[in-house]
Amino acid sequence: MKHLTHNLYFWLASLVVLGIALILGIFVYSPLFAQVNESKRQSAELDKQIASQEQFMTTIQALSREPETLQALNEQASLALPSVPQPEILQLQLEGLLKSVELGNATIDVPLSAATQTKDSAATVTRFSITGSMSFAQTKTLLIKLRTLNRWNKISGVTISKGENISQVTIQGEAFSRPANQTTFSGGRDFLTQATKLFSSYDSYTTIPDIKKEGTFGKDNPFGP
Amino acid sequence: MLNLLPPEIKQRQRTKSLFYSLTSIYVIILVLLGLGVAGLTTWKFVLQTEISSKQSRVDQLSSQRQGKKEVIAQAAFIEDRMKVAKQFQESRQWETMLNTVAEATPVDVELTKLALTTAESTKTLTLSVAGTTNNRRSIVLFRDKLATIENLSTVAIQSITEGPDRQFIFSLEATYKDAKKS
Repeated sequence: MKHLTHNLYFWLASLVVLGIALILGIFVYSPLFAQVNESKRQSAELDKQIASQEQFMTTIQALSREPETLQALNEQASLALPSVPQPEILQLQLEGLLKSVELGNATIDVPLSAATQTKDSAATVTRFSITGSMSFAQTKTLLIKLRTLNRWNKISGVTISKGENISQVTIQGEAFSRPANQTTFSGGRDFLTQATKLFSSYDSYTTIPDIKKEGTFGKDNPFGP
Repeated sequence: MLNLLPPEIKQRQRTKSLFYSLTSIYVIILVLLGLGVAGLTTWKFVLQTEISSKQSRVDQLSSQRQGKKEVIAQAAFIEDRMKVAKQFQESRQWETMLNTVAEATPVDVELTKLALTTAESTKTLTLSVAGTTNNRRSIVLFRDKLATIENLSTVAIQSITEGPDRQFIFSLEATYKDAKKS
């Protein structure tokens, strides 16, 4: 070994090998490792994207197979919290509700153009009031039915005054509207089940006017009887 | 077997053999390094091929998604409403509040007015009750019974006036503790 260290060729060969190893390490291995690592990261990221998109598309395919359910849910969601105030629809909904509890004579007041913004301006508030003669039991039933009405609302006051035979009741409340904030769908697996569960818990007491389904139109003299 | 070569020649032979061995090791190292480069390059190539195939799968899924735009828009709208359902729904059980007042009313008291009102600015819910009785004690009992209702606070008699035929006309007021909830 001692003689080897005195050998010029040994040193030359060692230096050449060391030089090549260093050059390979710095200029070839290091960038190659970096590229491989970057590719692995990209590949893993794409795997995640594919998995989430496939799951999303599975949900979408399932929804596409039930267009009627989706359409019905969309209509229910739109009735519960419409994008615009629709006070005239609220009037019809309240009228239907009152008829269902045999309070057809009660008065509904929904101003058509007095909607206001909520404090955070996220929604529009349409105030309404129901006034009529009703028993204590009917008042309680009406309050329960208002909570499950298919137009989301909050009651702000109830006043019951004793009348001669029956009490005079005024119920004040607020119904809301809000444009849709969300444009993307999360693709949750149980979406359809949860949506059906939520919207089936509300009761509808009227149908929304639809010129395709009702009404007779056309008069020779629109001023005539 | 005896090696009769002179020690210098023997030493030179040993050095030469050691040098060849070392050279072989160096060559092996260089070959291994080269193989490593080849291996890494192949791995990189395989990964890139994988990436491009995965990317085309992502593109394919995206275009499928574009084709279902209408379904997605409908689902997004429904989901939006589901998220805010609690915010825009009645959480108070008004009929229960009426029941508790009815249950707290003494049998010899007749209510003439019952009002549950929410203040616009503070959202405080107030209970106002007015009624008549021919027993002054019942008014106090009514107040005390109302005060035992869990959600009611600061129940106070606002007025007592004596009407005709020893009828006492009174009014009470109370505030609901959870009034600011919704």
